[in-house]
Amino acid sequence: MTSLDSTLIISHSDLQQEDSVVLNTAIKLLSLEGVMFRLEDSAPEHAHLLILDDDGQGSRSLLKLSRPGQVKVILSTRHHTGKNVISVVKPLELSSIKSLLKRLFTLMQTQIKKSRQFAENSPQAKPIEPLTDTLFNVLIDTRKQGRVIEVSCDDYPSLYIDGIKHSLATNASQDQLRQIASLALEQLSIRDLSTDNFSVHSNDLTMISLHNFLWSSGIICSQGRLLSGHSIDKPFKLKAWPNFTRHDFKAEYFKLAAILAKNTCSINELQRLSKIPIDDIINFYNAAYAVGIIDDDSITQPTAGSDTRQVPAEKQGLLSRIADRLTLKKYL
Amino acid sequence: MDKIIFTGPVGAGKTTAIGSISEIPPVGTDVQCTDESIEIKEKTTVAMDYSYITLEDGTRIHLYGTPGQERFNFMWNILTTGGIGLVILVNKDHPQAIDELERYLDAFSEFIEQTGTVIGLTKCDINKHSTDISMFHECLYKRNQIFPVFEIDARESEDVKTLIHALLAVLVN
Ligand SMILES: Nc1nc2c(ncn2[C@@H]2O[C@H](COP(=O)(O)OP(=O)(O)OP(=O)(O)O)[C@@H](O)[C@H]2O)c(=O)[nH]1
Ligand SMILES: [Mg+2]
Repeated sequence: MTSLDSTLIISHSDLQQEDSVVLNTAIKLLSLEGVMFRLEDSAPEHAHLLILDDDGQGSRSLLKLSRPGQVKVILSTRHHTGKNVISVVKPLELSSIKSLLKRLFTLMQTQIKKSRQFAENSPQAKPIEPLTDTLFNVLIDTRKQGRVIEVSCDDYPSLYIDGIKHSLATNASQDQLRQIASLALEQLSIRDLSTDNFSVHSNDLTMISLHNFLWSSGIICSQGRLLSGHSIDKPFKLKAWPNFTRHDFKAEYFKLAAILAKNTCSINELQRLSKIPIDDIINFYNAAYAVGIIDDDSITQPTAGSDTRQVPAEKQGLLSRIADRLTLKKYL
Repeated sequence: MDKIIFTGPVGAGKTTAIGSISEIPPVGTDVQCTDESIEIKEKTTVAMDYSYITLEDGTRIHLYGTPGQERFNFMWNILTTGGIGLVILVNKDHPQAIDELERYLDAFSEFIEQTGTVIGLTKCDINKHSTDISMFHECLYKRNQIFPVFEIDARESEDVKTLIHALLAVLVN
């Protein structure tokens, strides 16, 4: 999803080509009025608004899907009823779909605001679990204790990790490294090496920065669990931005980094401020901590909110259109 | 007019970075180097680089590159007026890369105050004098300017786009 709050995600399924052209045109025209929708067909279950043609196979199964707050617009010759379901006669007509989308936009923005306020006032939904027994924990300890280790498992090349020099020697590809990070600790065998042994083993292997592997294993292993000894209520800031061109990232991480580069806040406050799921924030936090860019030494007072400038809707619209134009391939 | 400004020292990769994301090759004023820059590179930009990207609604975002050579510094104010944001490119393999960065942060301080800034460290694939990225972090932390700093290859559009996404996030949040 986009980092801009005010953009709503539309997804559609089984639309006739003409209907899909009309829909696209309506979205473009609305964007000129600051009514921002973004078409994203890859994950219809996450869209705010789902447009379906009831003659299509895919649509029938999507109709059964229920995401809280999602509105479904059904193009049909029949009349459909149901909670958050709107029927529209086929074929789509530009001015009527445009005005429908505009009305829905206003309604849904209000809904989203309300549910956010509710979330802000309600206590933490689920307790945060501690992150233990993952390869990420092992890597952090290896670095902290200045150990040298070998990580091996049956189906992948071994990893030789020097916690003193912060280096990693391996023949594993980036993809294989991600797969290794996602294995359970029981599937890996880990043993200590001497520095000499490390040199022997790493001789013909590719050296990569341990930093990058720490980051990606942090993102992969965390799954919403917080490193032990850390708190979701302790304010922190970023000392530096993550090196995103060399790290795995989600679109949301840009927003998190931008907020944390300017403001001090806790994970909890960050969730309220950014509306990003707390699991994503925790994954980001753990990875950022591991690569040494979390600044929480002397910080006791949150500053979030004091320095948030309001960007006019028109400018936000322009910036989000630039982001859409320069689509990135490598989102997680 | 909506424009993004690319700046940085001679040979940092400004013309290349603009070219890797723009729709037309940068309309440049690249000429054969005649002065001290000749030891660094064959061609340099005089006056400026220009290109653009077109958004879905037809709006053009103009991409301007400042000339790297000092004798064209008078162009800087002219180019930045009305800009959306600033991309500073620095050759990471330059022996005085940190000083180079600071020179640009100082020279553009007024524009930086008003807009957003991102920093791209280029030529990370060359390792003769390379400065570690943590040194750039330290420099920015001391200046209380926590700007995005990414290692990029100016020839890779995905890297340059990532830089622009960070710029947009800085501008919105
Ligand atoms: N190896 C390597 N070469 C690069 C990289 N980025 C740019 N280059 C090369 O560096 C040279 C200089 O790049 P330019 O784009 O002309 O630099 P510039 O900043 O426009 O230079 P001036 O116009 O003189 O200020 C070109 O040959 C590029 O192909 C990089 O990341 N790695
Ligand atoms: Mg140039």
